Amino acid sequence: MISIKQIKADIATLPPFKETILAARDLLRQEDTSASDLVEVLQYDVGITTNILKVCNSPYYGLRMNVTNLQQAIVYLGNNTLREILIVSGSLEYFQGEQKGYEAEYGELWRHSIASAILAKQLGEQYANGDEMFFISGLLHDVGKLILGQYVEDQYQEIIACVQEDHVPFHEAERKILGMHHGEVGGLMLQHWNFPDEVVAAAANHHADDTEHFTDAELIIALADRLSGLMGTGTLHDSMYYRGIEGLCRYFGIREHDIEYLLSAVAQEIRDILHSTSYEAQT
Amino acid sequence: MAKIIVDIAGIEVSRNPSDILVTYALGSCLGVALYDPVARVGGLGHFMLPESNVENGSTTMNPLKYVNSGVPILYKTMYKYGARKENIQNAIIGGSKIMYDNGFFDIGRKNYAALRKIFWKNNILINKKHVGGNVNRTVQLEVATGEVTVRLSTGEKIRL
Repeated sequence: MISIKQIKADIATLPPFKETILAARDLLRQEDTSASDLVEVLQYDVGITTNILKVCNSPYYGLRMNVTNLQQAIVYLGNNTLREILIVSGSLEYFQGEQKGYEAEYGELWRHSIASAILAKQLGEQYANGDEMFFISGLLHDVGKLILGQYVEDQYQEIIACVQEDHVPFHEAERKILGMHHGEVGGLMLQHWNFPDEVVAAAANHHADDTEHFTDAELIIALADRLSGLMGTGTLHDSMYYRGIEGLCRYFGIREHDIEYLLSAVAQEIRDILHSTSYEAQT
Repeated sequence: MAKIIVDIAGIEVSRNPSDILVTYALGSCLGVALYDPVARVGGLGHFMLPESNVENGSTTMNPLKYVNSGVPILYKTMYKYGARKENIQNAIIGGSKIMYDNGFFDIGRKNYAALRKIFWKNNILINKKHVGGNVNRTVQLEVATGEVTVRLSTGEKIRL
């Protein structure tokens, strides 16, 4: 348990989530916000502007024209879509670079996050109230791995031995060996970044394996996480070591055939959005 | 040495002896590695779901997503590169399932079943395999030698 203190110190020293993104997100909440208000906030951040243009030109968003400036992007995309794109663009830089501990391949954690976001959005629309937080919660549920990865890498053999010998899911082994699991770490990070409570809770509870103690929104994120871990876009070292997929499917009345259909349907969407993020372009 | 990455729902075939075909993080997905030691042609596919009939009626179907439609395409591509059916050796990898799942939901097993079905129809025997369990696997095939290596999420490395 040497590391809890260190992990918390790592979180405390995290730079704030991109201010331009948060300011733009707040503007989008206000009904009288005009496109030029948004342009005003975003235009000075070249990195974000570039990312927004790349992401919104992805076939996933289905715009029929090539969007070349921020003003156009804002006019052509709805507020909800814009919020999604803002968070994707803002998150990208945190996920860039090699991530330790969980990946078999460079970029796999980002792929897992995008896949989970798209699956969470789909599942949220089909089996819950479909609000926009599903996408964002799905995208950020594993953000704790960015910090915990270093510690997981250092003690991977102990963690895996604990999973296999004590028959516990991966996150419980993390907690046993490191003192905290990546869901808890992610919850603290998102709190630190002032994300809404439901996004924080979804990250902290995304290993939910019973349907009694968690909200439907948390359970949807848990299911999206398990499914994206299975499907090959975003399968991480820990993906196979969790409980509850069966109970989650039963709870929402999802049959195996529905899952196959869903995975098949989202595969292309995931690929589309991944190809448009600069992150994928590097690999 | 050139590393060629096989995407999910993708195949790669090569007869360049300096190539290594790699596919990462097979969870429930199925990896199919083929090698013709005479023609020295290697092929690797990464398939996601068992049967393409879940997409009945779709006009934009990608046959490489499915075992039942992707495996034949992998074989046909091998033939185009000069491989012959009677020489092709195969190794089947993946088809894992998530821990603690009692089988209600086991796409990995169904993927492997779909493969056995299509092999059986075409009189092909499985030569080597590393399937099932609760691990994720990364596979690489060396075109020069046909050697298949599997790396598990447990850290173990296995030569098939």
